[in-house]
Amino acid sequence: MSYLVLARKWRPQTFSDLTGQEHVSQTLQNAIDSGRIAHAFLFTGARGVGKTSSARILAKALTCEQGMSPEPCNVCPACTEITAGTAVDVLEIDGASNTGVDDIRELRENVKYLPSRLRYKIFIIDEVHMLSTNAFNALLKTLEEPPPHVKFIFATTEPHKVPITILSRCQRFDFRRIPLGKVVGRLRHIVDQEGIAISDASLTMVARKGDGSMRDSLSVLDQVLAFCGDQVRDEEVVSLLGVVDRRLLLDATAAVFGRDTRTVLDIVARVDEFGYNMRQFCGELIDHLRNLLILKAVGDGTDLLDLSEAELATLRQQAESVPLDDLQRHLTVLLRADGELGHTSFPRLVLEMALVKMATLAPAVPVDQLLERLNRIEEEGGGVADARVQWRPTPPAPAGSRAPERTAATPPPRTAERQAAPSAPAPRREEAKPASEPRRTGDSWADFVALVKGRKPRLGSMLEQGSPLVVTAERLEIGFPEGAFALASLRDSDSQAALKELARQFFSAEPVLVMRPLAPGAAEAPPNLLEKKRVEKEQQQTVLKQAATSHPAVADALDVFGGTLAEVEPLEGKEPR
Amino acid sequence: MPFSRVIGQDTPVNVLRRALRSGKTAHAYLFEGIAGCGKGTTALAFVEAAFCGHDDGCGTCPSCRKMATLQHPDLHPVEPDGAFIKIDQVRELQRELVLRPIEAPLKACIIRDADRLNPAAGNALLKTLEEPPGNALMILLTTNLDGVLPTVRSRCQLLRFAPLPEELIEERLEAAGRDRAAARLAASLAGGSLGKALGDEEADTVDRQALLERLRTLSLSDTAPLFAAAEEMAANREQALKQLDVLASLLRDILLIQGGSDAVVNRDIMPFLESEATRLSREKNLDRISNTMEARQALMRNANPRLTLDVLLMRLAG
Repeated sequence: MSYLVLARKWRPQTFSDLTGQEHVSQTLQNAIDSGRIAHAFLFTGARGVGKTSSARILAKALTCEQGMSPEPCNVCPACTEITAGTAVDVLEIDGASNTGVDDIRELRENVKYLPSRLRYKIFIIDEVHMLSTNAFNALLKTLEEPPPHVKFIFATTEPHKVPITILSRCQRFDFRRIPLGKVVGRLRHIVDQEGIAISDASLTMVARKGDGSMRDSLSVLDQVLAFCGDQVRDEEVVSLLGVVDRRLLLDATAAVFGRDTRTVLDIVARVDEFGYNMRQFCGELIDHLRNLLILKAVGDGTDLLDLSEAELATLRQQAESVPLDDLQRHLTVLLRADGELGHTSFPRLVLEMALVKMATLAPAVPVDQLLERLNRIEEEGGGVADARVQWRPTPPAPAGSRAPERTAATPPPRTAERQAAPSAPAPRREEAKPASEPRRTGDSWADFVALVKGRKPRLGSMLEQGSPLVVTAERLEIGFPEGAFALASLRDSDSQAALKELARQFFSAEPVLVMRPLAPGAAEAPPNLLEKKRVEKEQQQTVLKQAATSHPAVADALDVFGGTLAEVEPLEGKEPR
Repeated sequence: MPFSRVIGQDTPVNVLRRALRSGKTAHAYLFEGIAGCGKGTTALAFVEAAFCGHDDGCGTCPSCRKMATLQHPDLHPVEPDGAFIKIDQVRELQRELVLRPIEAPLKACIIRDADRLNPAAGNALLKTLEEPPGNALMILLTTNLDGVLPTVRSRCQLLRFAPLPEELIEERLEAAGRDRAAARLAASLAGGSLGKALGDEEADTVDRQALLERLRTLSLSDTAPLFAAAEEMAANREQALKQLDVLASLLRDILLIQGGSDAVVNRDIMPFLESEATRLSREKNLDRISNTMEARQALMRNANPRLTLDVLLMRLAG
């Protein structure tokens, strides 16, 4: 297999071939020209921007038999050997495979000897970030003061993993991502040399896919050539690279803005059919929304967007119909989905969920509008609120034994909501905290249960279900329905002991505790506390209802709206607004 | 003809065949696609054809026969040892690749689950992947492209394998002796993975209707059956994962019905799904789906299955 992939075949062999890294090649060439050559270099930058290539070119420039020159000749044996990777004095070491301290010790042994043929002995350590800490440290002394015939060149994509002590001993060169235009230019050069017919649009697509990396771009180009042969048509490139059709993006956003869930789901099905990657589609959709957002936010954001005039026109049209806030919320949903797509096993489902969520997003109302509306309501609705304040029935003092029955407290509505509905009755009472010494009402059984509830809520609520048969300081006899759970658990020794202790405190005597089952249908048992409460509450409700219906305002309201009075609640100690 | 074993992946197969014919094969390929869509089969076919030298591979010469039984001395498969592919495996591979091929014109290696190369191993592979010794052919397979190091990705030619169309899977299943209705259902449940469709035996599939019925009866006021159900599901982690997958697909169908799409997967229980779709609100259903996926994620990360399912069922009931 003699074929070399383009990235290897077209590896730059001179500084002038190196694309997009002029700042590096210029500096290195000047250094060679003026004879001020450092002994250790560190090349860092993203993948495929020319680090390893530069290292090799530098090695050649330093050892070229034509004399040290800013450009290697590439014809002398020294240069050709380095290109082929067979030079004895240029050692290219894979730092990721030879990571240990032993590998570095071996290298240090080697450093001592003079080069066998070339001017310098050059060590190129690629992927240097993978060296172990020990290996790095073992290298420090050698790196600081190597013999004059030795040069080190390190290359890595992750300089942050290289210890600071190594960094400070090297001359560091940061390689930039290659701008799109330069990648396209280089690709054009290569395809012309290879005799391949391909349009500029396709090359741009390829370069965009490469994302600032020359090797990525060339790998993609290879893939395109493998698929299309020497005659490349644009449609083939589109389908092969899975570049998402702009039409599809426009349709998707239009459907989302039009709240059309059905179309949204169809679009996902189409995306799947075309074989696009869900994550890629999501990414492009995010880009598209970003463009809309910029157009909307800046008005004339043409210079921020890398788009043609025709594309801008359609975008503008689409941006018109959506408020900025909605766009931001859509983006938030999509960005979350994008994060999830990275590690989910149902990419399609995640995308579907996100799009459905976006399509059903309730439209946002700006806060200032909301406030304005509230103010208006407040002004208009003031009269109603006043009427309610003026007339307030004095509720009968709640009996102390009446435990609050509303426990499921909803969070207090925010002021805004409350203001919006001024006629809503002040809801819910505070959830009563079990007081350790509840107020006594005279009914000794109710008081006792209240006490128990304060100390041992579990026992208290069980006692509530029992009927007090005998309640005196000498004897407590409580009946439960046959086979009740409460009966069984109150009979166990722990509960008995706890109850006895509490009864002793309450009655200041030691009553005999008796729990006994009630015969079914026995009518003589007094009602238990729960029933009592219910009855009391019902009575109170009727009283309240009577009071309410007799009020003229309520009667009028019922008359006007044709309603019925559903519930009346006392305002227990709450100040009406 | 080795490539005839590959079903429904015309695009990547054509790319590879064209490369072989024109002698322009790259030295490193990265095959990406869901599990069970034919990446492994294609990789083997490609290596077989490259070894044979007769156009697409003859299938009869000794080399092809050795490849067919995976006995070829110049083929070096690498698979995760445990959870990861470790650096020692990569070093071993590098040692092998330095040697001359024994019979074939070149050496080949197939690295499965390339997303599970651990960082050290992935980095160790970089130099080899860029300029392999002696024209070796390296094929990396992955189901999760984002899990592959970008530096590795940049050195390979990427080939995407699309999920298989349902009809093809259905055909295959019928050819394998499943009856028509079962084949149809399994094909729609497989989501484009033939491997999954073939792997799911009848006895293995989860009783979907019972699952949904159970979920429907869950209630927060009566937690005893809820916890019992969670315990039963949690007894077998693999089975629980499968059940969650099924649950996700059912909930997705409900979402699709609510959204007005007809691409429903579980067609056989359509009336049931429709009734659920009208019963549940869309928001609630979306919540349920994300809860289910969260639970699945947690199980994958080795959370306590019992607790995870307790929480999930309580959330689904609430």
